[in-house]
Amino acid sequence: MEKEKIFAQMNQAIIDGNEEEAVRLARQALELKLDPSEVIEKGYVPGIQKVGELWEKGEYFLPELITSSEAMKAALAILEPELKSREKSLGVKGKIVIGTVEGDIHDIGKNIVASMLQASGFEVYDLGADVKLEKFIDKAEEVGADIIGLSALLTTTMIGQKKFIDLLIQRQLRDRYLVIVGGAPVNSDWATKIGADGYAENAVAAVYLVQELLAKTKRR
Amino acid sequence: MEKQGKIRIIIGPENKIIWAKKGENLAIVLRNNGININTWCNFKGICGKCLIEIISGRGGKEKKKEIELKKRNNWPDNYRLACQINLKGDLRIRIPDESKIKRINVLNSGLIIKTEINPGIKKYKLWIEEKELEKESSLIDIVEKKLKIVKAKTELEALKKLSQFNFKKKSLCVYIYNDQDIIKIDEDKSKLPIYGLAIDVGTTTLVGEAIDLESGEIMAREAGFNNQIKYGADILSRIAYASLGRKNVKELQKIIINDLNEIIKKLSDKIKIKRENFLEAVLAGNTTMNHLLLGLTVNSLGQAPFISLFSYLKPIRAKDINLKINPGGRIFLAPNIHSFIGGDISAGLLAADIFRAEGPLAFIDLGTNGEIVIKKDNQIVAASAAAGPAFEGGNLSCGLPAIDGAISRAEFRNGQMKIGTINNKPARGICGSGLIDLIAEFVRQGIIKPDGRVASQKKEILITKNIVLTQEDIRQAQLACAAIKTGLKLLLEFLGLYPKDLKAIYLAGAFGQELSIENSQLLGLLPSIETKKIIFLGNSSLAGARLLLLNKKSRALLFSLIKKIDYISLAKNENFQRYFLQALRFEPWS
Repeated sequence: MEKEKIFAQMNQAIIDGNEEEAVRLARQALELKLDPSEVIEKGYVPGIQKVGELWEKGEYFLPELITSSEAMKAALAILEPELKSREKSLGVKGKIVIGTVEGDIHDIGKNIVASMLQASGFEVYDLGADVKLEKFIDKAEEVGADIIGLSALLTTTMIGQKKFIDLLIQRQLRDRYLVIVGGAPVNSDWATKIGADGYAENAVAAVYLVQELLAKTKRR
Repeated sequence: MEKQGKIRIIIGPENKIIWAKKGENLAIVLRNNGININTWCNFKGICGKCLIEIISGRGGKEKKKEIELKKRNNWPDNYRLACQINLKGDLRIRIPDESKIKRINVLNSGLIIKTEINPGIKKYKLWIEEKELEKESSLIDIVEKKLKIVKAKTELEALKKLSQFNFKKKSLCVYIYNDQDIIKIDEDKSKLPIYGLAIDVGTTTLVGEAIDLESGEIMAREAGFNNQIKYGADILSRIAYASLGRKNVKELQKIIINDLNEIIKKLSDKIKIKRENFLEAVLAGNTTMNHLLLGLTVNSLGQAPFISLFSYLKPIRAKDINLKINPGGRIFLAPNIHSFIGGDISAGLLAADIFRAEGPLAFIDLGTNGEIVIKKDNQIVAASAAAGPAFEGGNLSCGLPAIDGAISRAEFRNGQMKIGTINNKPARGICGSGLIDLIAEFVRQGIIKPDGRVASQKKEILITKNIVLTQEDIRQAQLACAAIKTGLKLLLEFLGLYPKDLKAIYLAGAFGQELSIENSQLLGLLPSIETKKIIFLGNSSLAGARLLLLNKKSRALLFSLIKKIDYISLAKNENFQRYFLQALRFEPWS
């Protein structure tokens, strides 16, 4: 019963974007010797899922999304080291390399996507903005990524997303990675046209997209 | 009549026939054929202003957004958004009048500022004596001597004219540019005034004035569209198109020059003066327009580190860019400050007299790109904030630019929302100032929460028949306001200033005088300083172009001062993201 109550509080802390409370509850859970993997799954994950729903309903906007995902990340940072190594490998849902393409210095949108993905349990490698295309591949190779996400915020820089896919093909690595694209001037038509594996309109949609893509590949 | 592999579009009721290729976008095809169809949301399919009726033929599959929009408005099945149709086969259509752009409102043509009249072009009357012809070796030598010019540069056209008449018996009129170049020689028509042109070269619209260079009087004013719009409403789309190849640059150049020539022709017709009598044109456009009208590539403007090819340029010959004024006439471009802060802004700063005025001052041009310039003592900083098109009615389900029927004001009175539209025409959309008013009033009523959320379960607000403010529209307004607020805040911080230190904030751009200062302050778009310190400039780009045309000293002043301006990259500032997220709340500056 006590456990259920803490889970509900955790849930609420994430929805409220209350980082302090989320961290306090994570520490309390460890003191009470609760199973960290159960705490994540039942205490925190439903919270961030609810945040996604509130976003979709128009209740939440970018500031709420950021504070909630920051609270989630802070809680996960405390709980994850306590997971048994077997659980750790199961716990990681997928590895994503993300960044804003070369020639483009804008990165708020990309930061929010990275934050939401991390909060949703993915291992995210954020390369920042104005990232050379080769660097995306180098990092993905280094960490053994599943997905590479490219952001472009200008009509003039979205061509970088196409160039990246061409580069992957040229280096015979296209089959190894799933490529997803996003950014203000980007849409699903563009993603299809350049042969990307997916497009998401916002950070919440990006989480769904990544989950869906990874589920598909695992089934294969 | 058949054309191989082409699609035929018949437009009723006149049965005008136009041809297109398979896969082409219908809205673009219509525009290319001279039909000015509305594309306010930039081909996103959300504003519904390009509605057409399909009489016969297939328009192809509808996307979710279009289906929802049609449902909300109860439009019949055969009504479609032209911007969402990629042509598959022949069509017979009808275009409702509401879907066409009818005319441009020139809302405000900028402050009329008194200036010393000292134009680049001067006119001198000469009488050549017999004995002078014996003394000097050439006619130009005589002219030089009489006007005390050393080594004048003479336009070939001027010589051609000189060779045509008997100079012995008549007095001559010589037109000198910058006390140096002989650009025109004519028989004495000294009673004929000399004319110049001041033109604001906007991304969407162009506004030009014919001005008497001796009296400073504005003889006529005309406006027209920048037809480059078919390659995108915003400047970055144009850069993207131009970056695909030289051919595209040439095409964009041709379009803008044609549009300018159209305005020049209208002006010359209006005042009944031949175009050859316009001897100088001052153009104030953004950096991209300045590059494109010269036929220069713009690739470097669209990619970090965002560098332009030039800041200021010596005046060029009109004929070099095919501008139809006097072929030897000069074109002067208001100088660019940075790749995102162009001649329109430098001209605007001149019009606001920001360089000479005392005390800390801010200049803000509220548009898709919000350009912000702040002066403190001898230091001037500038930044460009990506506000997006919401202030100009773009990207909104209910958006319109400031044209007839756009809701431009709103006030909550006696339990009811009272709205005002441009030219009091029936409401058919909301423009920037109306958006600010509506949101501010709904925030006061608690219908919209400070975090931008619509309080009711249904995430939209009915304004009037068929006009709905959606949650997404409000989000767009939040993003636009936050971009400006963040830019202004960072620049003030950079200079160690607080908003209250500002002696004035000058506002230029799309909003016009209709913007409510109080409501802008409530939403945090503008800082809460005394409202009398916030001053509307109207079309300051045009006002600045006029000053540059009438007084060449103002050019030297502008050149020396724009060199002092430091450009600040907002996106690279470490506080940018934090400030931006905070600024998304609808609340006054603290």
